[in-house]
Amino acid sequence: MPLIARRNEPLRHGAAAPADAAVATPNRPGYFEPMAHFTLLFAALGLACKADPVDEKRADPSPDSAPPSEDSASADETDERSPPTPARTSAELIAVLEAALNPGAPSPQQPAERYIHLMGLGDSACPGHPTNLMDSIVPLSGCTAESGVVYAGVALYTDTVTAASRDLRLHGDFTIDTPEGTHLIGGGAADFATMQVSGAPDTVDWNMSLTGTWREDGGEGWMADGFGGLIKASGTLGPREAKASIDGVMTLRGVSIEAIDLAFDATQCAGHPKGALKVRDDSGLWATLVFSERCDGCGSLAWDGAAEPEEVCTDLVEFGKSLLILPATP
Amino acid sequence: MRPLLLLLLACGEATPKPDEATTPATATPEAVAPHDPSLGLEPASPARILRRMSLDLRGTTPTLEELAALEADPSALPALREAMLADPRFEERLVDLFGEQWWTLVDNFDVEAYDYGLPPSDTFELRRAAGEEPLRLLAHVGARDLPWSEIVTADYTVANPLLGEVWPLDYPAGATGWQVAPWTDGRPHAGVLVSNGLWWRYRTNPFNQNRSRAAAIFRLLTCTDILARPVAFGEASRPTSPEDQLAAILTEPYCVACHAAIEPVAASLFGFWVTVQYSAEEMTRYHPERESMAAEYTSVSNAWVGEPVYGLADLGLVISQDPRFTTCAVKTMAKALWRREPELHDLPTLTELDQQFRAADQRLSALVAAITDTPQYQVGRLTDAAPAEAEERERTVSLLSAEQLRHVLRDLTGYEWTRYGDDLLQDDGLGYRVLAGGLNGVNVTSPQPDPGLTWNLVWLRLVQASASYVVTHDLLTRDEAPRLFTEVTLEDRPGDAAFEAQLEDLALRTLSRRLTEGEAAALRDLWTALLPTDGPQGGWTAVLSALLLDPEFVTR
Repeated sequence: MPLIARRNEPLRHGAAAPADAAVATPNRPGYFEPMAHFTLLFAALGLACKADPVDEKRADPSPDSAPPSEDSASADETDERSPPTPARTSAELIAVLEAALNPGAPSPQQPAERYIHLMGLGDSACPGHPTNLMDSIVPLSGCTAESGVVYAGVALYTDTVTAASRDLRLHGDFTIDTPEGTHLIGGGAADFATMQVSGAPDTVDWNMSLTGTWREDGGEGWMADGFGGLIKASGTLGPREAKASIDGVMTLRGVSIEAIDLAFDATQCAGHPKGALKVRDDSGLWATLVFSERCDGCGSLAWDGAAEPEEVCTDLVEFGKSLLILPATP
Repeated sequence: MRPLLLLLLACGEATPKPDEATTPATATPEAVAPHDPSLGLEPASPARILRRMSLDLRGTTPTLEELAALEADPSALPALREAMLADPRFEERLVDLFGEQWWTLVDNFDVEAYDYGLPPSDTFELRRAAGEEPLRLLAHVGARDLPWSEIVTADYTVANPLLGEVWPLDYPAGATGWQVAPWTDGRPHAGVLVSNGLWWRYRTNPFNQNRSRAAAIFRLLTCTDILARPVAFGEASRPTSPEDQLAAILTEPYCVACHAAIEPVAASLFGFWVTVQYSAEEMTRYHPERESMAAEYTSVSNAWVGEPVYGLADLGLVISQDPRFTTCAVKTMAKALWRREPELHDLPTLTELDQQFRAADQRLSALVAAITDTPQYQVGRLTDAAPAEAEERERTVSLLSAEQLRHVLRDLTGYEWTRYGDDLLQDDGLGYRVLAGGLNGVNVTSPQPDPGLTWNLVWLRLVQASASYVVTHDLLTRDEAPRLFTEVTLEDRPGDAAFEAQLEDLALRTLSRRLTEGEAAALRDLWTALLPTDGPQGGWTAVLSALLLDPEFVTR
């Protein structure tokens, strides 16, 4: 709670206070006790006055929402409060979901590789270190290398590789601009690790996490649109085994998604997922999709506040593939 | 009183207190507004009320024309007030007034100009713009007579070109100044609830999980200070682990008293959750994907005092329909204009104001007009019938705020106190704003109610500088039309018609009344005393300084 400085005693009836009465006094004891009563009484009187037309206002769709549809997620016209009207139908939402995920899963390797490549275009004066952006060298306003690349912020990069493992980490809050016009933004952490499975040298266990905001204006792949969120994934990849699961929240290619124990297994379910996804509609409403055990990419979709879920089908096989082979993604 | 007067003066003698007999038309109370005699509040003169309104609603003293109009017709006050409410400066004043209670003008955020690649010269402008942004939205709605509910339902914010450059906003191409600008990052339509400036001020951290922001929402929009609730901690439970603490928040009686309200509101704010606190990108954009994190972190669903809500846009709508929303708007404006905290005694007045506000479709100008009609606003002195507690409660005289001092000095003299382009009465870097009676929104959260030694020194220096500035501008340099010394030249002397007319004009422009003969004589003597050593410009500087240092000028 902020310290409230009270200065002199208050002026009374036009008389000025003595100039030397610069005394800080605390709030009056018990001040908020009558105020609590006052607020409650005031609120009660307010309630006794003209009531606002709650039902009418809540039943009207927002000015920016789509026109009411025949979809079961449409606003309820009863006296109870209704959720916002979705901007899309369930089918449209699924299409948006597929378009966001199927081009490929976000991987920590991509921003890390891009970062280390751009760091290689620097020099001993700027950024002054082959892998790290340090505020002891790079000024707050950034610096420009002889190559024309501009570095700003702070970042720590490590890539520890052994015969059996790899541990890649990029943490920071930085931007790197190139003369070609690309603008790399990193605000968060990108971690990726692999470990060779004992007794199966061609199989690795892997895990990754990607948190924060990662984007490259003028860049390639998912980084061109950017990523925001907190996700973690893990899996196993080998000639006889490929499985992976992903958890967390992300905005990818403009669509906000939450993965809840979303799992893929190349040897099962024909590439379709298990687990659940939540997808955010442009109206702000979320819909939850729980995949069935039938392994057919179908499941029940329930909009927040909707009475009944509905059966929908998706095709996220390509997304699953990209997740399964994530360790091999450049 | 005398020590203060002597301390305030730069040179010369004190301006004697006004003679009531020469004060322009002191209308009877009924001509201004009917007052309940039992309150013991006698209204100030119409001219004094006009001056008070002008300073509160525009930050300036009344014009000579307005004073003349009121003198000719004491019932002209409402019409003059309407013009003030339509003045563009009213919107600027609303920014000041809301700033006193919303505390966003802190000039200290986790993101700086260099984070956006802006030059150092933009440092203060960015800090100030970020803090003003939520206040500009409030002022925009208030000044344009939009329903007050729009402050929590608007699909836009109000931004300046600098914010339009660095924030995800659709700032109008080719425009200047503060303009309506929709967000382009998909944040919900929830007005100030999705303001970057608001959430940059009211921070959170990984453990707090938006609870402090939820408390801020309650304080700012319903005038409910959750942090002031008395809490008696139980003896049995002392949770130490995060899991136990979360459980306690939701189950222990001494925790639930506050957290039952806070948790569901905090759950609505996860779109402003950041993973890197000082990252410009994380702090600048809304993160819609993180809305669904609330269930995992807080184990509660979004709600407003027990009523489920579907995200921030819905939260804004529900808040706007809470009866406390309008009562809080009334209380906020009453506090701003009465220059004191409303108390239980004021309940009948506040209730009536609330009814008028709702009847006027929540138009802020109607509320402001109604407040300026209240006896609490128009009070000039206490009568013998005033109850004893009125002496402690009522403010018959209030010190001008730091913002009002800045506005009125600039209006009268053209002077702005700057250093390297930064207005020192706005910038907290050197602290002059607080020293001049202002607040910084962090550890000084209310305006200074009474003058003190430091305030006196700051005002003394400002008066000296501004008086010298305008005398040089108007009487020496004369490159532009004079601002204040419109009647006189350096050749005029006491007794000359121009000299006397200028004295009267200065008094009307500063004190909003005519001088008594004794006061006029004292000022002539002061001017004459300075003439041999400082010339006529020194004399006028001293005369103006005396008027600006007078307690009657620095109060309203």
